[in-house]
Amino acid sequence: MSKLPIYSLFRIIFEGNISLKFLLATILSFAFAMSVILSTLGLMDGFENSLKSALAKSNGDLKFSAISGFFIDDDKLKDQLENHSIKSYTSILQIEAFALSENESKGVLLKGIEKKDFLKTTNLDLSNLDLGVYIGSEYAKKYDLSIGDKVSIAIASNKAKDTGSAILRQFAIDGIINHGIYEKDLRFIYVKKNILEEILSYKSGVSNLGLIKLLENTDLEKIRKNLNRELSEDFSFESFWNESSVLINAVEIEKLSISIVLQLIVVIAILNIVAFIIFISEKKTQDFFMLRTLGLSLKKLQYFWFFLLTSIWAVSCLFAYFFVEFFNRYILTLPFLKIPGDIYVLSELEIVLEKFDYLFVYGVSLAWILLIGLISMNRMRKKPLIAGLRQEFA
Amino acid sequence: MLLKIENIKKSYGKTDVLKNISLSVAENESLAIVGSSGSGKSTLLYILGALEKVDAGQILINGIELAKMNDEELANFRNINIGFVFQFHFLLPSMTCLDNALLPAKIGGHKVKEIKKRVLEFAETLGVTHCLKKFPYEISGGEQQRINIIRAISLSPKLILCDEPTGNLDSKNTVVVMNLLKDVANKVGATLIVVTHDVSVADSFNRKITIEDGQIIS
Repeated sequence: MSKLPIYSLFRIIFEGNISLKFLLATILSFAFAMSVILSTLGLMDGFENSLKSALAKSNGDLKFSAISGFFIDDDKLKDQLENHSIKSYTSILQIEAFALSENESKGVLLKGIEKKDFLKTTNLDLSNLDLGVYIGSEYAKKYDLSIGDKVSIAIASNKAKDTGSAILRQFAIDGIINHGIYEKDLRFIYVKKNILEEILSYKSGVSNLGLIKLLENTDLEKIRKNLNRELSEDFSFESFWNESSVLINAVEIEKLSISIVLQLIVVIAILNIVAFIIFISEKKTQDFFMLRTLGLSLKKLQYFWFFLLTSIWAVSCLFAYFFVEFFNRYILTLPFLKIPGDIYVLSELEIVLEKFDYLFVYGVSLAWILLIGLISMNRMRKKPLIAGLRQEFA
Repeated sequence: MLLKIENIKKSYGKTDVLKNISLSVAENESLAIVGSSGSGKSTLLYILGALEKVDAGQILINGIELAKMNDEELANFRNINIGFVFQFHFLLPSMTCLDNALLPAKIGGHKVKEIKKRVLEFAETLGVTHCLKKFPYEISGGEQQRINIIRAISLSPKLILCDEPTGNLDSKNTVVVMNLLKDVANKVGATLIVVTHDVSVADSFNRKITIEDGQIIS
C-alpha cells in the first residue's frame, strides 16, 4: 500500500481561513471541556491528598489509644509494638482545656509530648519547646500572638477538693507550629509531657494517645490490621486519616458522580466536533469524491479521517493539560479564591491529578470522537462513488 | 485487446440502466460513445473506469477482471491505469495547477520528481506552462480543462475516459481540446473513450457506438 498523502489531504481540508478558524474553535472548546472535568477531579484529588498529607504530618502513620482510656509508656509497650515494621512511636497525654487570650476563652486540645520522639514520628519540629507551649498558627493569627507572648490555659482539676474549679497556668509561647489543617492550627497547643503530668498530678509515663511512624514502603493497612488483631485486648489502632474518613469517602463519591455528570460538558464539546465534521463533509465532499476517483481508496480516506480526528483530540488534550496547569498556577492562587478556614478543613486547594484521571478523561473523550468519526465515515462509505460524483458535480 | 466487456447489466432500483452490453476496445483505439441524456452512456463509462460495479456480466481490462478486485485494489487500478477527464474540470481550488496535476502521483505514492518532469513536458505541449504556479481560479476555462487533461495523463494511463470533455466549451475550444486529447492519447499510447452527445465530436472518431435505453444500437 502506498503512503498516505497526508500533507496534500490536510491542505485540501484546511483550505481557507474559515476551516482553520472553525478547527481552532473546535479544539479550544473541546480542550476547555476536558480541562473543566480534569480541574474538578483534580481539585477533589487535591483536597484528599492535601488533607491526607496534612494529617500524616501531625499524626504519623497510625494512631492508637488504650481500650481502658490510659496506658503507661514503658518497656511492656515497647515489647508489644516490636516486630511490626515500626520506625518510631511517641506517647501523648492530651486533655481538653481552655486557652485565654484577650479576655476570650477558646476550647483547645492541650497535648503533652516528648519532643524528640514526637519529631521522629510526626515531622512536626517543636525543638524550642521548653517550659512554655507551642501554639497553632491560626490561634496565633487570631489573637495576634507571637513567640515570647504569654497565654493562660485553664485545665479541669481531677482532685476532689478542686471539684468544679480549674487549674489556671500561664505559659510563655516557645514557638508557633503549622499543621496545614485549619482546625488543628486553631485548637492544638503543645506542652512538655512531664509538665502536664505534674500539673495533673499523674505519674510519669501516663498517656492516652500514641502515634506511630512505620518503616518506608510498608503496607499501612496490613500493619494496622495485624496490630489490631494482636493487641486488641489493650489497644485500638487506626490509620492517620481515619479522623477524616467520612469526609474523604464523601469526596470520593462526589468525585465519581461529578465526573459522570460532567460528561455532559464533553457531549456539548463533541457537538462542536460534530458541527466541524458536518462543515468539512459538506464543504469537501466534492474533493473527497474526486480524490477517490483519482485513486484514493476508501481505506486510505478512513485512515486520514481518523488520523485527523485523533489529531484534533491529541491537540485538545495538550491544550487541556495547559489549561489545567494555568488554572492551578495562576487562578487558584488568586487571593479571593482562598477558602475561608473556619468553614473548610484546608485553607487552600490545589489541583492534583493522577495518571488515571488523565487516562479516564482523555480516554472517554477519544471514545466519543471515534464514535462520531465512525458514524460520519459510515455515511460516506454507504454512498457509492458514482452516486457521490453525480450528486456533488451535478 | 485492452478492454472487453461481456453481457453487463446495471440497474438502479427498478430501472435497468444497462442491458446486456458487450463491447471490445483494442489498445490505442479511440472510441466515441454517443446517446441521449439518460441513455446509460455515462454509467457505462463509470463502470469502465472502475467507479461503479455491475450487477451481472464481466469486465476485463488488460486481462484483469475488475469484479474480483476489492476497493483498495480498484483504487490502485484506477490510479495507475485510468485517466479521467470530466466535463467540469474538478481541479481542487486549494492547490496550484501543478499540485493538482501531481495529485494522482501523490495519491498513488509514485516518484513525484519523475512525474513532475512529465507534467512539465505536457504543460509545454499543451501551452499551459505559465498556469502551473497559478491556482485554478486564476486561469481561464480552456486552460483549466488542459490542466485537467494533464492530470488525467500524468501517470501515462492505459485508458483515458472522458465524460463530455467539451460540454462546457465553445465550438472553437471544443476542436482544440478534442485534438489535444487525441494527440495526447496517441503520444502516451493510451486508449481513448469519450462520452459525448455532440455529434460533430463523435464523428471525428474512427469508431463510435450509440447507446439508447441501455443498449448498444449501432
